[in-house]
Amino acid sequence: MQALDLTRVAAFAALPPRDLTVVARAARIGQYPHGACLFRAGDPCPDAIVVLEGFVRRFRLSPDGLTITTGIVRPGGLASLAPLRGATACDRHAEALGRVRTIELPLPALFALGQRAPHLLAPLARDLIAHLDRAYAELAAGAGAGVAARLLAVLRHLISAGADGGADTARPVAIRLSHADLARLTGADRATVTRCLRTLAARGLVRLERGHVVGVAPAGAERLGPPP
Amino acid sequence: MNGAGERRKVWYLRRIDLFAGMSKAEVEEIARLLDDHHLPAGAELLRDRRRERVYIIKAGAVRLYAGEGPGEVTLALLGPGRLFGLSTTVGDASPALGAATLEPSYVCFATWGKLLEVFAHHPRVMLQLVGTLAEQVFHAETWIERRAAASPRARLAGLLLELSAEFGEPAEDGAGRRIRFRLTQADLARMIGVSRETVSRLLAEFGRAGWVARREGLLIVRDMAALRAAGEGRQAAD
Repeated sequence: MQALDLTRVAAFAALPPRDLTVVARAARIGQYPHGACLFRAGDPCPDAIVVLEGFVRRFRLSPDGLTITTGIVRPGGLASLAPLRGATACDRHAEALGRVRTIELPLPALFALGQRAPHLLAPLARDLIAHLDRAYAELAAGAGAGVAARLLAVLRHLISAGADGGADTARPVAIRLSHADLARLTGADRATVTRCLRTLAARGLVRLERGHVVGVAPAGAERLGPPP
Repeated sequence: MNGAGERRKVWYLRRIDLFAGMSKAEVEEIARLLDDHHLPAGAELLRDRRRERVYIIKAGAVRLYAGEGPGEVTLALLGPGRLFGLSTTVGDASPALGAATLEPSYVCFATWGKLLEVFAHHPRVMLQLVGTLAEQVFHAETWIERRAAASPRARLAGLLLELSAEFGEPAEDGAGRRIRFRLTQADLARMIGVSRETVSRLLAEFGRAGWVARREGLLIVRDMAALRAAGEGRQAAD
């Protein structure tokens, strides 16, 4: 893999070229089309998987077959938490939302990097905190609440994720997901999601375009909550 | 700080995972850089708007919550080694969180910048920090999953198991694990997103089955296998 790819991840951006080459040699790039599986719960999971491009959905299947999205990982974030928690098997399923590219780095290589330059792990810590914050926001919005509330929580999540990296907070964020994708994310049927989206569009909170949703500007994301 | 106070700080720090494997001298150095607080049960921590602080729990238990009054939702229960007050470090639109101690607790705190400065000089602590945060994300995801999918019965069973594992101690009569701090039915209801009446009915059912008991206001989890089965929505094997 090219050392240049690594510099796109905050954790590696500040590495001197010599270290970048060492990491690049140990890492491999993963490429996944929309909907592809990165890993399944129970799979052995020895690598730290950092998302380079696109979003990764972490989810579980309930005993009655319901898909429950437990988190969405954005670029720069860790898709696989298990190895860092000291677990040997993946704790969730993960699939690509849109086209996804990842850097997959064996844990010993990440640890060696952390030993040499601990400050380089700060961006990874920061991303985990952002992930934790979004999980708390989702819990606060009431994950057991109705479809409208769950949809609002998911949209807030996606908009704030898309707004990262110093983007203009007045610029709308395109959420390149179909109504069916959003239905899977919220655990509801597509028709209900479409109905809820139309209500949100009528309130000027989202714009519906061919095949996907355009979120409001990140600065307006707060207008999406609290749920009605 | 006097010598005894300093020694106590070091003693507590060495007992949390975040600083595991460090030398006494390293822990002493970190202890000098962090401020700390002894807090009684029920103390409020984040509502004073001093949100630039990141806290690390040295001993005790802290409940993290959002909202107030009937709309209050418990987001996490955190024990020793866990961090909170982290929202300000990321700048995302995050809910205004409150934190309250569930039992007498001992916490230390610093700004995120200062904490990173400390960690940057101690690679092992930095790696432990990433591991601790991954663990906290995993727990938050487990709560999301529990609230999204499980029946109220499975949610309560799962929560009681988690509480007994994280905050339990052997019960006095040796049968099961006692949760160290007092939790009312309303407290449990706010953790799993159901009504207090539902918790009351389910606790009575679990009590009749001998799975849980309450002694002097403290919950005792007696039958882990039965609760595990109920948490997964199946009958326990005899």
